[in-house]
Amino acid sequence: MAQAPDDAAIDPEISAYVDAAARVLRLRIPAGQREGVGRHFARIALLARLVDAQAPAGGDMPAPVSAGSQA
Amino acid sequence: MKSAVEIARGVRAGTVRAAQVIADTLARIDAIDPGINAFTVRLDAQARRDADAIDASVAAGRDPGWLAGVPFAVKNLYDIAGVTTIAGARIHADRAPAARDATLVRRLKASGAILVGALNMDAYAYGFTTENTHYGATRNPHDPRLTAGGSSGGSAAAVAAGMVPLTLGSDTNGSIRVPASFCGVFGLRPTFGRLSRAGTLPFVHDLDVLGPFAASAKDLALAYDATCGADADDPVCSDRAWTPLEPALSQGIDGLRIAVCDGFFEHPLTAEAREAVQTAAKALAAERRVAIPEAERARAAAFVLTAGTAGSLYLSDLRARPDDFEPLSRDRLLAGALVPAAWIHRAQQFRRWYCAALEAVFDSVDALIAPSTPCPAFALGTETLSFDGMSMPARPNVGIFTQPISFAGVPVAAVPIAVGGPLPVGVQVIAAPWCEPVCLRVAAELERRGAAQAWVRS
Repeated sequence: MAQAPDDAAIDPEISAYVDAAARVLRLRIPAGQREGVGRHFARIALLARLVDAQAPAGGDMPAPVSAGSQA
Repeated sequence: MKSAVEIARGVRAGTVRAAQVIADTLARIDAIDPGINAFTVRLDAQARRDADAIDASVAAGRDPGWLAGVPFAVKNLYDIAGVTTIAGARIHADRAPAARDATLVRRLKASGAILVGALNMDAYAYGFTTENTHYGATRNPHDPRLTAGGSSGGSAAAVAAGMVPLTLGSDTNGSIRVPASFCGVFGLRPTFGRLSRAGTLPFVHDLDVLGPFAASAKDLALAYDATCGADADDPVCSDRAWTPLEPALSQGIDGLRIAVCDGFFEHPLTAEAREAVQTAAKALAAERRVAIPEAERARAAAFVLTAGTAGSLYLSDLRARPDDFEPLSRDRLLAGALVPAAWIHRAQQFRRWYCAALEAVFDSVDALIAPSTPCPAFALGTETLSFDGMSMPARPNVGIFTQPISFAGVPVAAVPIAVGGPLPVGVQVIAAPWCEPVCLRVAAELERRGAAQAWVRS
């Protein structure tokens, strides 16, 4: 049975980033939650990579978030 | 349970007293809700007073409003005057009570509807199952061992259990459409910016949309019509002209070009979810198949944007009082707080391209049909879903088919399909921005042709 592509394993680089970024942001990650946070961050990273793989054709402007600009 | 239309008709005509409607409603909630856990706040005394006022208006010959006497309830991220807005989260429980009702609550009340309580949800609206450690899980009215879906699980379950005919919820990534599918009721996620969000606790500002649940397309339309309109208190709320939905319901689908989403939306699906799409397509004679470009990437971008925004929103509380957070979402929020700005910016860049690409699809199609959920409701506590040759974590993947749609901000009706199994499952009816009438015309036609039907406990 295939695994969903976002059922991510935790890369050592991900773990290192999570630890460093949490320290910089003054976030305490208890030992019991470290694996869970790492797993979730790995999933986000995997999906971010998928987004990053497409060069945006719309230039540098981010998406419109005001209703008027979606009209 | 009588529909909102029937209740309002009777109260307005003076053949039914609003006080009796409310007494019956409260008695039904007393009897049923202990087994469902949809309500977190009851407003019995206020509801009785409001009902008496409606009856007095009718007796005096004044217009009591189009929704006169219709009981309704709202997800507990809506402000209710005098009640603390908690958004399902204990970290908000010590906030001051709201000074006034949210805009949509005020508008429903102004139409004569009567607020009876607030409804359970996933903490922070971050979840698809309404498994809430601090306030209890909301159980599926069709099988209490199963999830009601989320995050507006209380809103969908309250309608499906026949406790109230109308509720309000919110939908960031699927939080109206997922519980509507699992509970077998109608829901509407209007165009981003169509309904005011003033007086609600945000989750992901760039994606959050409010909308109604009901047991029929007609009740859904009445709730939308009563709540629509510009609002200076929500900077995103549009002042663009809007079309009432109720008159559109009788227009049928003549002239509408309807297609079924293929590609990303075809897998993974259980047999029941696949049957729901096929049933809807057959009833609408929708033979054309359309691929939404880059739907998988859109889902990924919605996931990244949600994680990063939610983590940032709660950063100070994550620092100061992490132990007060919902255990089921604390790790996700902590992970989201670590998301670099570049990923969020990239997701927004992609969103711009994707919105234009999806709008281009609507050059040749008026409505799209897609599954709401990959499966019917599953057992509370489920960690992994396995079907259609796939095994995946349950909670992040329930919204796999809703996220690419809401990411573009387009309107979607959630429609419960009459499938043969023991549990409901729904489809999404998707239209171009600002085309809510198209969604409701299709939903109403599915009802007329017997392909759609709410699953409401008698």
